[in-house]
Amino acid sequence: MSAFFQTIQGILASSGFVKLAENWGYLAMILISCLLFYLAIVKKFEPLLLLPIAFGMLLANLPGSNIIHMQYFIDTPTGHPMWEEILNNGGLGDFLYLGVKLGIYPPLIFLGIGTMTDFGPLISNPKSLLLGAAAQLGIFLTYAGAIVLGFDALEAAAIAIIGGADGPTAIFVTGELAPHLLGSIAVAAYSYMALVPVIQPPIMKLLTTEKERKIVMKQLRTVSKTEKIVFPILCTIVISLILPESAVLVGMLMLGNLMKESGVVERITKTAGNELMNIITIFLGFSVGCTTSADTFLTVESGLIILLGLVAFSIGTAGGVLLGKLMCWLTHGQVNPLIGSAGVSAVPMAARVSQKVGQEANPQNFLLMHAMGPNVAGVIGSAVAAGILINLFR
Amino acid sequence: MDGYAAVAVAEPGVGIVVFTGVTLVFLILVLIMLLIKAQGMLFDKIEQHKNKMSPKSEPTDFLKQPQPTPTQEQEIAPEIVAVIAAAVAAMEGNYRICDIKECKPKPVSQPVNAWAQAGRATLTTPFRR
Repeated sequence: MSAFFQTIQGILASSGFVKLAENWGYLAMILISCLLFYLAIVKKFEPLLLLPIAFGMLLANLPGSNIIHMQYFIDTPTGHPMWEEILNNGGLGDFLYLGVKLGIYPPLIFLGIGTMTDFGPLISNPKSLLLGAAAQLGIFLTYAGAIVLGFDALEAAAIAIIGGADGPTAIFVTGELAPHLLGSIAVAAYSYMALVPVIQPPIMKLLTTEKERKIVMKQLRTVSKTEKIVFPILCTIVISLILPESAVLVGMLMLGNLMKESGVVERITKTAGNELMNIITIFLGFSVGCTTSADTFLTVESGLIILLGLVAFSIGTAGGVLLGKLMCWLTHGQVNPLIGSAGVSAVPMAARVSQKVGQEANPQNFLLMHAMGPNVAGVIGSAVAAGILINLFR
Repeated sequence: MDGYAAVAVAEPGVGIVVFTGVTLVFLILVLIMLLIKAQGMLFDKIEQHKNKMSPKSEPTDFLKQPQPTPTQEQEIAPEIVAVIAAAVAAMEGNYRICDIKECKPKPVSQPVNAWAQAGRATLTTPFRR
């Protein structure tokens, strides 16, 4: 009988409950994951990614689950992943995380995004690219802010990219430059992307007048199929030659788009935009969630990252709107400055916000198609900004 | 001072990163903008050239082509006619029998306006949150 009790005692001693009592951080992380579940399921905040992230977070913080071994990836003696250890002792989390570490998932997500993106509004109004560029201001000014708050250059660059409002780009840059901050940055990036309808309108209204918000823009010209086919090829060549670091992100985005616009590979276009993207989304979300252990997530740095992410979003929005105002002034009122805020990527949420705020001022106004130009320009702009940061710091 | 320290010193300053970053993003996107404009102008010219050429050849081509017979053009699948009949009957009420005398497709001369589509989508999409 004593042997039975000893066995039970041994099982209890090695159970997660004991470790949970030893480190209250795990409990806090489980509560945070439950909060993310609430946001994803009830509030529908980017549920496709927030749900797997939250579940990965939950599993990673159940003591003893050993879902991932971050010590094999971060601060290793050689500076590279410990391949032998991963192959011998690694599990599901470790192997899925390789897709993040090696920068495989974000470009594949971009491939899927490319199959769903219409560059028509951008091609018909190329000036939209300027608004997409202005909205990247948030990235670089937040970099300066992060340095002031004591982050090193690599960490600051990874935090700053939250301002691009592009989840895959943020994960790509962070995986390259500061993988130990991946969990915090991914959670901040996706949370703020979901909060675009809350964050942007006050800034847009603050920086524009009622008269400017009422501006009705001219109808866009029709873009031919040939132009839509040439654009992704042209864009890939130009950006990849100037910034080879952006080639993989921009290249995959444009490949997806070329597949869609050419219309000759309908089967693989559907696969890239549906099945493949869904699979990668599960892998990406889950493995990113697994990196959020109590030791790395429950820190002052995480709080600062959340704060800096908000600053980056706000500056990006303001940058786009301010350039929109300048364009409005230069064109004698032909450009509605509200479309500038869509320059932060967050496709198509940011464009919908421009449309909504515009219609509040003038119910007869349809800004959606005009805002889609800066919106997709923002995707290109954030990929370019990512390439610049990787080029400067890797 | 060893080689690694020299590399660490060479890390770009904050001002340089901000200035270089913003400038490069603008320059690259402006370059793409100019290329799109050039591409648009090129295609416009090609289109204009095609339009100039087409009026001469169009009438002869049109005459050469066999004209579709009325039965080919106006034929509608019986299932579609049944659906239309059911819809009309539903609108009119159960007590009234409708006699549909003609049912023929009407060619769309122009594509549907994008703004009209956007307007319809906004008005018909269910409230999400």
